[in-house]
Amino acid sequence: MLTRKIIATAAALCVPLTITLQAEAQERNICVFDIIGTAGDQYNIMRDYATAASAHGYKLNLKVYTDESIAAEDLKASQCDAAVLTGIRGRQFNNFTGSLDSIGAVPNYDALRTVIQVISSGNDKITPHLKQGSFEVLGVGPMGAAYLFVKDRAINNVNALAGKSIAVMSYDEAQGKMASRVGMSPVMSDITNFAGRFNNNSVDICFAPVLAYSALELYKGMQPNGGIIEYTLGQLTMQVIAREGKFTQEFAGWSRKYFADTVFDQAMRVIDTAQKEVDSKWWITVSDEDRVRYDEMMRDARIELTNQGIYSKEMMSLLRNIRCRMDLARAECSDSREVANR
Amino acid sequence: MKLSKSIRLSGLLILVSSVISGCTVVYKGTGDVLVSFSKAEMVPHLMTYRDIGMACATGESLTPLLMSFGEVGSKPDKLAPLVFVSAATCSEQKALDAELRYLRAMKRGDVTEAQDARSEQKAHAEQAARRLYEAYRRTVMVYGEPIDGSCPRLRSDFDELVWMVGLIAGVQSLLNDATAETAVGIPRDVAAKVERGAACLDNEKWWGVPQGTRAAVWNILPMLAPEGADAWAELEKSTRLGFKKGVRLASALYVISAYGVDDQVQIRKGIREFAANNSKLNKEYALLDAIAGELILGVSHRMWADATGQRTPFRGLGTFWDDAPKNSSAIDIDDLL
Repeated sequence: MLTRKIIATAAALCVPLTITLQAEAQERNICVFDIIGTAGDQYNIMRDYATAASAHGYKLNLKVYTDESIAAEDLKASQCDAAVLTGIRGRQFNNFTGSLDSIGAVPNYDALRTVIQVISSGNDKITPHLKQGSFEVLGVGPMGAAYLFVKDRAINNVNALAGKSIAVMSYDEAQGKMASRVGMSPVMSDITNFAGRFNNNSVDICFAPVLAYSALELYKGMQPNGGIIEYTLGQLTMQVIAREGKFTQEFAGWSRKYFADTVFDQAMRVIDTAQKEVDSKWWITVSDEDRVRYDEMMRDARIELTNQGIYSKEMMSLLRNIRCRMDLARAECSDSREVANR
Repeated sequence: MKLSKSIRLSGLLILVSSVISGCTVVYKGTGDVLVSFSKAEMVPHLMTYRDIGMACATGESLTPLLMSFGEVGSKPDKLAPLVFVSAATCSEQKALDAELRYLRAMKRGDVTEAQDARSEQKAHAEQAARRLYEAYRRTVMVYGEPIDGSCPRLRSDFDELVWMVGLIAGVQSLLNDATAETAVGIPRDVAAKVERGAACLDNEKWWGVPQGTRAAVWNILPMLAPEGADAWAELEKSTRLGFKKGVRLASALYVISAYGVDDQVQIRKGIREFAANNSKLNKEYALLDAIAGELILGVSHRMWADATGQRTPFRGLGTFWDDAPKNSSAIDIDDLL
């Protein structure tokens, strides 16, 4: 009898509680950049994110954008409360996480996982960097490592790069500068034409994520004697960037954790599949000696770009410390050129 | 004694081997008859059905039987793409049902149910991707990979039909695999290959589907579009051709493309036009038109469920929840009283 009363009371209490929870769900619009549209990987991940978010008080309406620049503009124009963009495009909203895609700074996926965990840690020294101006970063996930695809295997060291043409993304200042630095001629391109230029021989080299290899048939451009230089030039990331005040701090913390704990593995499964598609014959191995030279060269370039204000000093310092934590033998670990002043 | 024993043993061996080889001959003969019967009679017959459930059941139940004759020397290869696609309609239907359950759960704020439904949707999408990719793989196994500037030898209408169905299966398999977090690992260059392969078919003869397929791929990968190509204009033209010929498969490509980029105006236009053009349908290829109808109904169901929590009302394809009510011309009620 007593039990029945308790259940009845609990039920009576629960009903209004459920109604209140639903009534309080805040609606927010998220603009999701996915080049494939609603059938793409990023949109698929965001659907699961939106589902999980509804248990945290937000009803997220996803709107897909196949053109990233329009998604970024709509975020600026307050058409979206948050947008999912690549780190490179997101750099204009937050150059701390926007510097994750910096050249040669994240050599492998373990290092990427570590930095994403640090970002989601809620640590007082990190969280303030996630808010800049009117925007806040709500999560970072991997989109795959990027490499140099070359038409000729003889282009296997820095000296051979000089004089060659390379398709670079016009909206990433760093790519053009880096290319010029090593004597290459950058050819300003966008996502719709860089692969065509490589495949029809208008450029000697292109810089692309592993996800593009098969979808854009980059192997055609590598025929018969090209390859992919096995040196991680950068990590592409997807980032959720929200307008300030549109989400509670509790939610922002949960969201970043969700990206580190759930999205990372989900996205890595897709990246692994893409990586496996690459025929092993294309990989051009880099000698240890050259690897060290590349590391140094990338570091010099990063320092220069950081001094020019393109990359964030704090992120460069964090990434240097992560690299050295994983491999203390790296040359850079004996000095502190990229370590921010404390 | 010894001699007679060895004679008996040899006799037994001869008997067993002749039974075995006899079986193989019988099996192959049966297989050849079944395969050629299926190509000549069953497929054209099934094509006249509008019953997708029957196509799904046929695909699921007959595929292993028909394909097993490949083991004894029969050649069910050209049949394979068609039966695997038929079997995939079952998985796609289950994936859609799970997705609708997900949308309903989200609508009422039941996160656990929604997450469970998403997992179910992904599992069915994976199965659909496997079946559809098998259809594509077998197509290119028989006719060769689509390559630049060259087309396979398609000797008959049946060959052309198989080529077309196999190519569409390739794109559909990629889309399903993306939902399933690339669990199958379908090579992503399938989209570009399909785009090339579709150009080998006569657009007029196949109800606008070849050009519609190419344009649908351009919408996903704009870098594959020839210079100056207008994907939407091509889809529009193909859709019209489909309406004229009575097989509205290109219309489904139009709606799915619009859904892919979340273009509400185009989606609604595509669905309304599909629903409005339902007379003078081609009887010979009724099944393909019915499959197009199911694909479009699936998009409509998702939109309805997302907005209202329920699927498209029965016989309500082409209508939307926020349509203005149909009023007869302005009537002053007072005049009637």
